[in-house]
Amino acid sequence: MPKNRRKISGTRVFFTVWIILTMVFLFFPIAQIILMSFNTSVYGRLPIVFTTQWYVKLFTTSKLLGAAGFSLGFSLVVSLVSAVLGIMASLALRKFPTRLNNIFNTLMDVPLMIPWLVQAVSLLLLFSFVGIGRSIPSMFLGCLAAVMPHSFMLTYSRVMTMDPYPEEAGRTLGATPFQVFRDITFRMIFPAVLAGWLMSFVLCFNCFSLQYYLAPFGTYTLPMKIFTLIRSGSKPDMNALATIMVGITFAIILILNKIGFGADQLFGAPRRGEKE
Amino acid sequence: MEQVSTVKKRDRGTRALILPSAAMLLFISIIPLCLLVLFSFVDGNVTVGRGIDGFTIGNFVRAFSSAMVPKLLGKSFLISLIVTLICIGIGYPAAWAIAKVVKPQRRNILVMMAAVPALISQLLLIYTIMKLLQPGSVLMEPLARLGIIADTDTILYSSKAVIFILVYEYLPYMILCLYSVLEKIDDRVLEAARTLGAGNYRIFRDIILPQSFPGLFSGILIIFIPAAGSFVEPDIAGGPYGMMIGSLINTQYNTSLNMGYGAALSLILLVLMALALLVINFIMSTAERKIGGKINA
Repeated sequence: MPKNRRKISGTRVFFTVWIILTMVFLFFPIAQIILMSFNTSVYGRLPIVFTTQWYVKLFTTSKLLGAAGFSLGFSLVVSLVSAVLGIMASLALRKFPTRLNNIFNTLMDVPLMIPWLVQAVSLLLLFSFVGIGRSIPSMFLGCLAAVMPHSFMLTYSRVMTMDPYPEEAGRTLGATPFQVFRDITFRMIFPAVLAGWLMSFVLCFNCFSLQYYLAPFGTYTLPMKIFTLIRSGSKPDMNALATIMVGITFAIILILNKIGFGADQLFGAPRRGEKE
Repeated sequence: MEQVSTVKKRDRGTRALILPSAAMLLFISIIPLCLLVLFSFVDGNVTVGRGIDGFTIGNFVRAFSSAMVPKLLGKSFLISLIVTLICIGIGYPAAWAIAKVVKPQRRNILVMMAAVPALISQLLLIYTIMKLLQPGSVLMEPLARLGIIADTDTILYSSKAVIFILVYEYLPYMILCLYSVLEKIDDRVLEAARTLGAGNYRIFRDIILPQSFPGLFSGILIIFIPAAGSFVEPDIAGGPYGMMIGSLINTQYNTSLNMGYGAALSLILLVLMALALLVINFIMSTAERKIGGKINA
């Protein structure tokens, strides 16, 4: 028995060290950028001399802030539309036979299975063909199509597993369909809707390929701006912006965690797993 | 009777809510992909206001007779395969550690931490890795001082850098997919196997591996497909010889402007990906049968 115990703790040590190293691998590059955003050296060189000048630059003269603002507003609109469409589709699917549900779900997976580059290419061709080409509406539709499956997925699985009796009771007691939705259904599915909205916001903010292909000339989202700046030497104000964005990402993840969504659920891992 | 008809009417109203998303799915996801077949026969560009100049099979002739296209395709799939294997190699023990080894109260926060890079902009991740790999960085400077590498040594602007960046981008997905299945494995089964005398290898082969297949499969899917189609990473960090098939497709739209040829290349890439998927699926199901039979059948 003691021998067995020692063997187990040996593997324990191995796995503990492994997960620590993995986390170091994942966070060292990020930590380095945060460090450099407070460093005086323009080229990210040691030693570290503390400064906040890059943050000052970011908020005064930097060209990054405009692109960040545009991305923020754009993603907000797209993710809100995506959340609303996700709620509508989920509620509707409850009234359809299972077979149709499965077909819709499979089709929803299509955008998830195709590289964004190919999706962007096919959309650019379509939009050029119908005559809107590279424009804000094109970019809006393209990003919406790319992120909507995520908010739908989260909302749908909540709607399908929720308790139907509170809604039934509301109806029996004379509430209008809108009242039932506002006071009962929406409250019950709210965490999933919030999670879906945040996920589509983050994904839309980051979906570079589609923005790159569909944005009108002269319009720059933040990823596009970074893409053009990344080769033109060192940009310390980018470090400052990256630090702020990492902070926001952490905040979003904490919120998602607080409302009870594990990261594995957010990326649809279990749903895809179940199909096998 | 009246009751039934109002219920029916209400249901019909609710059903209509599907229309916007169904329309979106049809017109912006499914139809464009189908049209890709049509556009791959287009001669030259599709221009706003002027439409299509004419049709040709020249795009495919050009793709198949060029020496570069098969080479780039092979290279893209090879890089993607390497990235996927490295992600499995690092991600499997990491996911196991989170699911079964660390204290249960730390599990949630570790999973969330693993997800952070997946939620940060791809371009920012590329930027951070480039900063990390350039000579004189926080990582390279100490290594150079210790004499492990030469002052100016860097893997930047090579396929190695592309692989490094892709692993960094996709590792979180592999950890999350594997975690979601490993976490469901019953501790009592593992204990029973151990009591009955099974060693670590035996337990891994007969219990853990078969039950982790669904997660492994979705992890491979989530990584292999986009990695094979990547163009931003080779473009920025790949250097002169780092080009992948995605870069070539991208060139057709943003530099040499031959959309028809680009569409043909995209279609070839998609078809090859579908074939690769079938092969992966076949390998996985064969392995599943060989090892432990179908668990969820």
